[in-house]
Amino acid sequence: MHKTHCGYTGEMLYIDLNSRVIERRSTEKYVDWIGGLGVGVKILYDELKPWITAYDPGNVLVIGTGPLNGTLAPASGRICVHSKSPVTNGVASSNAGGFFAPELKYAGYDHIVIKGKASVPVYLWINDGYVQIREAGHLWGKTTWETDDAIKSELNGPKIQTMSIGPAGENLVRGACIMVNKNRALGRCGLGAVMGSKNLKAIAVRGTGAVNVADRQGFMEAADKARSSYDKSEVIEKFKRLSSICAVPGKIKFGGMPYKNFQDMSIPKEMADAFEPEMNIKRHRVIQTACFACPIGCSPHYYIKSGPYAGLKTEGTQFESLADFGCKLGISDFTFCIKATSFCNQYGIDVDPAAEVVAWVMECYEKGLISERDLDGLKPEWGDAGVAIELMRKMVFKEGVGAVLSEGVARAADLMGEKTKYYAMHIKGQDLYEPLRFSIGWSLGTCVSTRGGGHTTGAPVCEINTNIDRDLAKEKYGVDTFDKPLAYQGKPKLVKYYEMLNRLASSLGMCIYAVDWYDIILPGFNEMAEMYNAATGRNLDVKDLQDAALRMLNIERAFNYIHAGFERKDDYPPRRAMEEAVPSEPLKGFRLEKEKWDALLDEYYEMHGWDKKAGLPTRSTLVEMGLDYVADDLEKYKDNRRNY
Amino acid sequence: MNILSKDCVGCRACELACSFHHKGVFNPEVSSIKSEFLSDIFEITVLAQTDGIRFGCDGCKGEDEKLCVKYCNFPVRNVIRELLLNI
Repeated sequence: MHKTHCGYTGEMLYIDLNSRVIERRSTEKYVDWIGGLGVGVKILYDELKPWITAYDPGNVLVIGTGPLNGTLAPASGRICVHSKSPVTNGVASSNAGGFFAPELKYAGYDHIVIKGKASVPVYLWINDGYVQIREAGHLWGKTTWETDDAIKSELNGPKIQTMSIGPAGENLVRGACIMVNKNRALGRCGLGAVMGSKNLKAIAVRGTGAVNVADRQGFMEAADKARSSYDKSEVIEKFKRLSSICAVPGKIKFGGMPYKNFQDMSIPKEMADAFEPEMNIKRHRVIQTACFACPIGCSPHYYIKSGPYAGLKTEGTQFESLADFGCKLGISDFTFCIKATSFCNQYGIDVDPAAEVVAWVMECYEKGLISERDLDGLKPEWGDAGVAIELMRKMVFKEGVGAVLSEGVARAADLMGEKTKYYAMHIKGQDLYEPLRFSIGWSLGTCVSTRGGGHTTGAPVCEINTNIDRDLAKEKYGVDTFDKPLAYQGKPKLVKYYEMLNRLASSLGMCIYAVDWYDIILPGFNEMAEMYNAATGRNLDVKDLQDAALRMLNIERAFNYIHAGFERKDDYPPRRAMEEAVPSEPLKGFRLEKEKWDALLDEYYEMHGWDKKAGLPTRSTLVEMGLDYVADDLEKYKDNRRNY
Repeated sequence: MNILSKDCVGCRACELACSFHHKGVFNPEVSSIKSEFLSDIFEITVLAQTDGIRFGCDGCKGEDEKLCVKYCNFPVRNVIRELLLNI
């Protein structure tokens, strides 16, 4: 990408699965989009016409690294994948840890852009500079775990890194994910189904090359400075010791547990006891591992010794799995959460849509809106682990009612009847795990996310961090409500801060848990700028990088309007979060208020230079960013985008 | 030299630091140290002699400290430090 190829390899692969033509192209023209997420959304915008659907061969799958992947920059192992989403019809943007990203850089490529559809199942094999499209008929139908093993075996390469889909992706289950090796998920947005639609089972990569940095001494000084922050953080100390399930006590304290499909925001004592982090780590964890270059190492490996899932050994099961499979389904069993997560990982379906669909079915069954006749004879009572797994299996294989459920909660509710829609918890069609009647900044960030619902592209977590460095927080955020979860004031500014920070981290190749999203004393804009400049030899200041992140956000927003028609009306929480007060303490009586949300959105759009009525970037905002062509497109597609 | 440890997390920071010492680039393939996951334990190997493209460990000659130890952020760093005492 950069002339000296420092930080970047400077090359990307363009692969057309129709013609099987493989091209190598320079990545230099994308330099202002930084890497990973930024380059991904720019390529999506440039390559896709609005009439191309997610499953069309014309859709692209963009796999991207950033300039810090492969270096000693902390937690620099993240890989980005972008496409048009079969879930939202807008931007599909996902990000996973592991070792795939550095391996791709060592193999000589910054990005892979895949178009077309193979006539038979195939997988890609990238071995240093060599690229091959290989037959994958023998892998079709296999789980991601079996696929990872089979590829490593047939290519005789235990060090090979893979990303693959399971039966869910093959069967075009809308919430299908891509798994990196066995247990790192490119989860939301339905990217696994896009791979399935292209008959692409997997990508395998092995690289033995090097990543250079422009200023060796400067880079190591910047990396040292960034790395020195982790041991000073109490939040990280807990996270290292207990993984993300360390969040359980805090979420209980503040009311962030989405019990029984978000009916309540607190859980019964027996569930709180069952999910107590220290006990579960002591009882089930066999070892803790880390992603590439990560100074935190948050990934527990579990082995279940007894009970119905005895003998199961797997990596993962983070807080999100407890919220999804425990809280939302009313199942007070930590081992079930491990089991359900490993099921999703093997069959290649994301945990959020899998759990949300089951939670919605359970609630609709409770309320008499769906009967056992609609469900192939199943009786989905709250807390029934066996029925939950069976419903997920039916979704993966589109068996019986599974064909409807596999469409995700928004479409399934559309098919199952008007009254069921109220209980379908989604934003822009994306199934939710995120509690919304909980903290305002988090809710705003989740609702305006260009991925559909999602907390990783702007939702702040500082609102419930009781150990936050208040002086530093005030200085960085410029607001003083950063630790007042129920305050509306100042939250748009807080969201904008993390919209920029998390986009920058994802473009550089860093994990958002390792930057100041998770604790304000961790590396922020300054530290990322120092590492970026030293790695690439460029000389961008913090403002330049923030502007680059805002360009990404604006182009995503425009893509979502042009492709999916998303406007202001799509930035509201589901009705339940506004119409029902939380029934139990600690947030008893709390709900999001329509008038306050209206004002919040006004302030948020105004701050971004967007039209308040439409919720879209104005021409002057886009022109100022050098995105004149986006302004032209917004005008061109206004009112007539549905005609395609 | 090799040891088995449950205190390693497999982040490969030691390999990156080692390659940077030898070649001034990030390339785990040339490192004197490597960490491999064996199901539920890590095997850490340090090469005393050069083997193919892998450099033999020189105890980080010219550096203020051993970089694999410096960049390890986990309890296994003490084990690695001891392992390298005689180099």
